[in-house]
Amino acid sequence: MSSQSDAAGNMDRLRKIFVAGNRACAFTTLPMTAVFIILGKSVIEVWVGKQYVAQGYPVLLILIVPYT
Amino acid sequence: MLVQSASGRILFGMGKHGKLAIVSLIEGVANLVLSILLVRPFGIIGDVIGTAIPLAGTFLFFMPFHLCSRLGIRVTTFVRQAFVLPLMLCAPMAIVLLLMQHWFVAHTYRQLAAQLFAGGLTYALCVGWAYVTDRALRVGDLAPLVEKVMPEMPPVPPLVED
Repeated sequence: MSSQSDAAGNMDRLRKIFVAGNRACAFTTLPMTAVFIILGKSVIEVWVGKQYVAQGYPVLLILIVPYT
Repeated sequence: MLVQSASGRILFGMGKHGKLAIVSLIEGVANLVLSILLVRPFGIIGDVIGTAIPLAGTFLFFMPFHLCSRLGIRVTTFVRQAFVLPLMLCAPMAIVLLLMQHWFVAHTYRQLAAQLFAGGLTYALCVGWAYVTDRALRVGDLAPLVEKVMPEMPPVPPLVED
C-alpha cells in the first residue's frame, strides 16, 4: 500500500497509512506493555518461580520501554 | 519499537531505508560496546541498559523525526493522532489490573488468568466502543508541515509612480 501511494505521489494517503498503521500497532502493543508492567512480578513468579522475581522484574521494566 | 512497526514498513515501501540501515548498524555496534562496558560494573542490569539505550535512541528519537520529516507532518501531530487514543483506552484496563493486584496477588496460573480476563474484558469493551463510534482508525487532519510552517506572503503594495 505504501509503495503504491509513494509511486502514485499520493502523499496524503501515505500519511494516513503511517498514522493509522502505527495506531493499529499501538492498539495491540500498549495493553500487553501495561499487563507486563503491572502484573510482571506475578507473571515471572508463576512462569519460572519466586526466586527470579527480584532479578527478572527490573530487567523486564528496563527492556519494556524501548521494545514498546 | 513495536508500536512503530508500521514506520519501518512504510520506509521500505518508499524505498528510502538507507538512513535506517545506517542507524540500525550504529545501534547494533553501540549495543555491543555498551553491553560489554556496563556488564562488569552493573551485572545483568548493565547489560540490559546497554541494550535499552541504543534501541530507545533509534525508536524514540530517530524513527519518528525521520519519518515525519519525510512525510511532511509534525511529530506532535503524529504522536497525538497515533498514540493518544490507544493510551486512553489502556487507562481503564490499567486501573482494573491495579485494583485486582491490590485485591489479591496472583501466585498461580488460574489467579493470573482471572486478572488477565478482567483486564482483557475491560480493554475489549473500550476498543469495541472506539470501533462502534468509528474512532478506532479514523485519522484527523494531517495538513502538510510546509503549509503550517510557511504562512502566506503578505500582498505587495503596488508601486506608485509620480
